[in-house]
Amino acid sequence: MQKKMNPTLKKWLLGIAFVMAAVAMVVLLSVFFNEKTPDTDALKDVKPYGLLAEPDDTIDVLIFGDSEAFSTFSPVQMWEEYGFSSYVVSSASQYISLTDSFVKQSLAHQKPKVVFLETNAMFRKMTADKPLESTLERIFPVFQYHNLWKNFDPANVNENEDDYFWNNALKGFKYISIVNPSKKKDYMKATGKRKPLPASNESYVESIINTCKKHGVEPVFVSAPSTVNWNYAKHNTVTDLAKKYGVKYIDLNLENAIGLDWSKDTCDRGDHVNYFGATKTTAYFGNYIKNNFELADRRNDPAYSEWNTLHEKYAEVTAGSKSKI
Amino acid sequence: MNSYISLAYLILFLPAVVLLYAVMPKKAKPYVLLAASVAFAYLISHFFIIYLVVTALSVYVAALLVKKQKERCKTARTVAENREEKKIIKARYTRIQLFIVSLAIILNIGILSVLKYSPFFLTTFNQVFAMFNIGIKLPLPKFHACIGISFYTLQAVSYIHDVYKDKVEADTNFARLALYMSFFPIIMEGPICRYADTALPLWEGKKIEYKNFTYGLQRIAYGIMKKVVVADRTNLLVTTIFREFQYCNYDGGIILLGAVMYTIELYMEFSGTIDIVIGSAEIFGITIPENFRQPFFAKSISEFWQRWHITLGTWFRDYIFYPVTMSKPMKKLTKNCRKKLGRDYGPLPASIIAFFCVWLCNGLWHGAGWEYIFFGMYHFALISLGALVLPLSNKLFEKLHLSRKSIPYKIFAVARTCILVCIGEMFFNARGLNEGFKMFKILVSRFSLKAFFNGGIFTIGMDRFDYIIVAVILVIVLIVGIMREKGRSVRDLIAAKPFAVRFLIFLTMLAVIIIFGAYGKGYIPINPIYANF
Repeated sequence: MQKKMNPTLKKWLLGIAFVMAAVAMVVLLSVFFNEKTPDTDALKDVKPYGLLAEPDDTIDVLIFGDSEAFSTFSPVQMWEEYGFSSYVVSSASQYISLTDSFVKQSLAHQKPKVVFLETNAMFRKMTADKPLESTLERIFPVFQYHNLWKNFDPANVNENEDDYFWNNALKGFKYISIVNPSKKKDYMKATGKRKPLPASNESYVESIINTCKKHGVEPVFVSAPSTVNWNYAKHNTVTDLAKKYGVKYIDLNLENAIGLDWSKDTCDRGDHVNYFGATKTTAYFGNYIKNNFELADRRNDPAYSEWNTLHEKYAEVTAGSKSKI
Repeated sequence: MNSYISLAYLILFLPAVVLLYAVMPKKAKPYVLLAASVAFAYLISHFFIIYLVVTALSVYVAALLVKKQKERCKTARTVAENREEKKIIKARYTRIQLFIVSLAIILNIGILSVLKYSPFFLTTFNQVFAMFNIGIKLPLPKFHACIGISFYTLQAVSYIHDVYKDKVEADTNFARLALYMSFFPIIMEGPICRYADTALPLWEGKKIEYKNFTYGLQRIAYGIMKKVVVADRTNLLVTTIFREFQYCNYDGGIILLGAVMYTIELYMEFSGTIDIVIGSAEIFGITIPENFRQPFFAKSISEFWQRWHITLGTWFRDYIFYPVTMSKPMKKLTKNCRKKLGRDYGPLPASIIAFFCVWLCNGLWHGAGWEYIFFGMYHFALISLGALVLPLSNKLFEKLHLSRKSIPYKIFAVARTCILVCIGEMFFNARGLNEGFKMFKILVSRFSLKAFFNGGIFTIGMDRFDYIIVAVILVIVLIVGIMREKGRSVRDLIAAKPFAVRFLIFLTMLAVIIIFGAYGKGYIPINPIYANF
């Protein structure tokens, strides 16, 4: 007669089998959903990942940060006015831990002269989830690239390991034409106070600086204009950090020469600049880069011919705003 | 860790507590839960956990004092010589008990009011002063409350009230009471538990059973699916439509879509979180009261509130509606009205006054703002209207030989309730009462379904794939709802299947969450909506 299995043992075995099956499924899904998966625009956040579509070692300036970065700095305008290539690798409400992984990912493909780190994300409080999420995404890419399911075609999986399929014509910049004025004008009142960085955020800043130095790239801190997110106490903290790590720092909130008019140049009451504010800030910032870092003018370089065509798409996207300037 | 949906809770905190609970001896198990609950409260509220400690201590001491007075009363009454004297003694001790209970309630409701409502009331005063050109501007304080204060305060009030009313014994074990007040799965978003149902099972230190463990995990997975696949996905569309200044660009059809999607989002977020809460407690063998019972099957607003956020509704019923209707002035009013208005309408004035108190509190409980008070008054008006019309409509139905049990009527009643609920939720989610009215005006005056046919609805935060995913999950939730309505347990049904089928079902569910979840880059998960209440 066949001996019946102990019920407790059976339950344990079933539990272990289920866990193993679940892990196997996640591993299998990660084969189908990863950064090499062909896709056009299904990936929600094409702005930061668009850099992966750029040919290696072609970007002179990289700018990292949260929404302050993508709403303020326009690489196409900087190309038009100063002739260097740049890309804004940023996403909304970005955590500094994600910036750190973006910097690592980006510098594996690009050798820019300078990397700018927009400082707003440094003050974003992180929960224990963020490092956990990054680890999970690194081990099982499906957690990062699952959104590709919308345009998923299993026939193309890993067809060409070197190809990334999404591109961003504005090079990471986000065009926002809405005008929603800010009443706050004296937000940069000088003070000796410091706004402390949330716990563990400095270690990510340090990691970003170290990654840059390892790749022979100069890291620079930059604070985008924002009456909502920025103040002098944060400025002081970043100034201290810049001194501590021997990094340059430019706070655009203190650069009156930009000529921002907060009654017209913001889309959300001073939280972010709009297209009009971005145009003024980019002109000033581009000039700062040109004057402080030795960058070649590539406008006549045939290798950069694609960059000379970007103004068409840019003009098309921003057409509605020209009359308002 | 800021929600039950966070990785830190699901893959670190909960498994660690389960493991520790499983290996500890029976006597130590409740202390594991208490330590975990204190740690959880500290992780989400930091120093402001002090408010929770004050509340727990205050009701603990107050309940013991009430108990002491009850014992003294009993002793005094045994030596009393006649009934009259006994009555006088009882009245004297009852007054003392009432004083203690009132003090404890005032303290706790006071803390809640100061932390949550003082900016709203001070702003209102300043607006009134400005309106009458009075040169006073009161400073607006900034307070930080302990997360979940609106939930645990109501639990504290119910406990002290029930001790006073002899429904439960005052707890002499502070650790047990503290665990009831702070149990980590319920501290953030409820359900609002009662001491009589929850405190003792929590303290029993039950063994983790295979069935409880697997059923708990299944319930958690179901909750995650509702929250991550649906609520976080509709959030993109809802925030786009409701954004300040943005909604003016849309027609009434889109506003209606926003109202419906927000209602779906709120339900999927809140009920999904409650699934995780109930599932977490189930792992430890603890049954937490259900907070939802297929609310969109309700045929009236009154029934809706018996199915939506049930524990809040029953709390208001037991601690506001009944005390108000049973108070002496209200009893007198009912008696007088019965004589003048007859049997049908006689009890209505007292009920409507009690409904007003309930719905004012309900609105304020949801938030300090005129839109929330309006939200409460909106439901008060609908429920009162329903109560007023009911005797008339009953007669009308009788005369026309119509049945409320007929299927077409049921469909009509369910659809009517859903529409009224969605409109209420639109005001609830609008950026202020004025904005709510502006949206309502657009909904009525510029109603058009053009965007539904020209693809416009696919350009405001959700594309056609997103709609398909939302629709598929809603159908699954609907089927599960119908089965629950019929008293059938889906989990029992699955458990009876061979293990290969069970594996397939749960692996599919896991795959759906991983692939179709609206998480990661480009999505901003909704903050736990009810955690702010």
